[in-house]
Amino acid sequence: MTTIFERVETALGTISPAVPFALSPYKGDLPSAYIVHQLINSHPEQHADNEETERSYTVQVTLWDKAGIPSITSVDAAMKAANLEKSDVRQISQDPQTHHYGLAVEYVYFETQE
Amino acid sequence: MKGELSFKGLEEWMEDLVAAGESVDDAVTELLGETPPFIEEELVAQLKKTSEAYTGETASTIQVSGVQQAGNYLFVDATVGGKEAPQAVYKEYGTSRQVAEPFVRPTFRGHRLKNKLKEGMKSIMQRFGLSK
Repeated sequence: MTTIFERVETALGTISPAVPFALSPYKGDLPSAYIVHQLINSHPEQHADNEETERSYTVQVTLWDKAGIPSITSVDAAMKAANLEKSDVRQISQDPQTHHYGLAVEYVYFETQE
Repeated sequence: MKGELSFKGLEEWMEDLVAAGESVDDAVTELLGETPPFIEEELVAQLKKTSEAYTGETASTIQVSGVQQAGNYLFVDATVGGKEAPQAVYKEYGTSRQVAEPFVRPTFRGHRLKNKLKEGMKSIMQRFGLSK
C-alpha cells in the first residue's frame, strides 16, 4: 500500500517545471526555491465493528523561495490530482539567515480501509 | 499564534439542552469555563513532548482567556508566541533549516481536548438530570 510520504512525493514529482523537494528538513545546500513536506498528524476518522475504516493524514508542504512569497498554484494542482484536500495556509517570516520566504500549506488525505 | 477547536457533537448537545428547557448560554459558559486550564496544560505537555531541551520560554507566553462572548458566539481565546517569542512560530511551522515541531495544532486537533469537552458535556447533562 502506498504510504502518505510516497503519495506526497509522487505528487510533488509531477510539478512542472520541477522544483527540488524532500522530506523535511532539506539537507545539504539549499536551492533558491525548494519544497519540504512532513506529516503533522494522523487520526482515525471512522470505525465499524471495532475496526478502523477511515484515517486522515494532515501533511504540511512548505514552499521556500528567495525571490519572494512562493506561488502555490502548481503544488495545489499536483496535490489535488493525488486526492489531497487543501486546508490551512500560513505565511512564514523570511528566514534571516538563508533569506528564503516561506509558505506553509496543509493538505489532508483521507484513507479508506478496504 | 492562535489555536482553534472544531468540535462535532456540540450542536446536538445544545439541541438536547433546549429541548429540556435549559439555558444553552449558561451550559456553554460552564463548559468553556472548565476548559482554559486544560488547554494550557495540554499546550505545555505538547511543548515538552516536542522539545529536546525544554526551557519553558515559549510556555511562558501562553495566554488562555476566560469565556468571552461576541453576540451569540461564546469562545475561549488561546494565544502563544507573539513578538516576545517568535520561536513559537518557527517551532510550529519550521524554518528553512529546521523541521516543524507542531505543538499548537496537536493540542487543538488531538483527541485529548475533545475528550475533555465531551466529559464536561456529559457531566453538565447529568447535573441537569438528562440522560446524555
